[in-house]
Amino acid sequence: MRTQFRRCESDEDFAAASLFLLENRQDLHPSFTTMDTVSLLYAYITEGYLHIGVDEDGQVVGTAAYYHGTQDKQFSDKQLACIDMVVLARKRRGGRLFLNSLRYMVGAIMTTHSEVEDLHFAALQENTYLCKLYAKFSKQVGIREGRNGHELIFSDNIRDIASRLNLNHDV
Amino acid sequence: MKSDSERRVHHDTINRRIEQEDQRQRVWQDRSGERIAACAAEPEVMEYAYRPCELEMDYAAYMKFLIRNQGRLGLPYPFAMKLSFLAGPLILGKAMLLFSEEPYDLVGAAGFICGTGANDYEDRHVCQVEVAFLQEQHRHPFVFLRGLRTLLELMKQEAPEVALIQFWVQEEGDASETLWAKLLQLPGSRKQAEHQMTRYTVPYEALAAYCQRLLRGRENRY
Repeated sequence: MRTQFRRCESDEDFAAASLFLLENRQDLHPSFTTMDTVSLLYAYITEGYLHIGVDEDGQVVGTAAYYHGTQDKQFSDKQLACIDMVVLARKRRGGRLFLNSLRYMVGAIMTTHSEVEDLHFAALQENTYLCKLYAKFSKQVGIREGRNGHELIFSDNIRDIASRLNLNHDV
Repeated sequence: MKSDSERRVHHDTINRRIEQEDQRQRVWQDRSGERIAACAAEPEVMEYAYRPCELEMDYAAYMKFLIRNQGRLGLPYPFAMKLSFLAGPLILGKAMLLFSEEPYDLVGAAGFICGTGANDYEDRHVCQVEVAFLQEQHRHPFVFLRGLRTLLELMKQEAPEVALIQFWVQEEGDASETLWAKLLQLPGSRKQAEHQMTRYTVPYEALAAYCQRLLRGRENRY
């Protein structure tokens, strides 16, 4: 099934992304609460970029967010972008949707912010699926204390990641 | 002890409120008001359950329900600010859910916060209604009044010193103004225009007594 990705701009899109994330909040972490989710959404909407993937029936099947720059540096480090969250609908996991979402997100960042050189990915250490996947396109460069435990940070040049994503069709 | 995320939203809420205290605009979105004033026909007898948000599942139901109806809440703000308004009662006050019994559905929600941003939420004798929403087909005076009574009781539990209720209405020149006009007749009530919104301040005791009086008249008939 074709999935269309877009950046959330209307209130309807923000609402759809919010509902999807609230429904799937336990995929962020088993102990992730409603208030955790609301504050995360608030941060993505006010400081980052929230995107959704919609299937042919108009159902949201995924949501993802990135920051341009880091919170630590008040987002002044514009050469850097960090994909902070990717959550997909359960029924659509295991297919190519994850890879396609990543391709879309990397493309969106390159188009929107041409000054970005380094792309980071953040994933909970215990989310081995995500960590293994990110490790295929980039190198682990650090670890940080997230709100739900250790998060691994992966990083590489954004153009290198883009070419790897396009070349490795069967990852 | 509040979690980091809660503190974060709380902090943002405070900042936002301090910034906006002068031009604050809130909504008391419940068009059933117009029906109260007009004394519309009584509903078919239908049972409703009014429940405060206590558990994580209540919080989730409250947020999802209001986000699903975000375009009908009468909150003329950017989406992030809407989120902040909706979440406020879960951190700084109390929220309430309203269920219809047959079928058992979530059909309404409301929430208030104790205190004002201008006074760092220490003036807990002021309770501010942040959001109130009832699905169109359930808008009836009886449902509205029972909801209001429950909300007032929750305010008393959360802030025993509560003396004033504030809420913001988008004035549209519609019939609901008659309810607001009635509230203004309560001793000590006042309204103040704030940009495209109107802020109503009503003494707690007067509103509780008014609500009780209207309900008594109705409940006797059932």
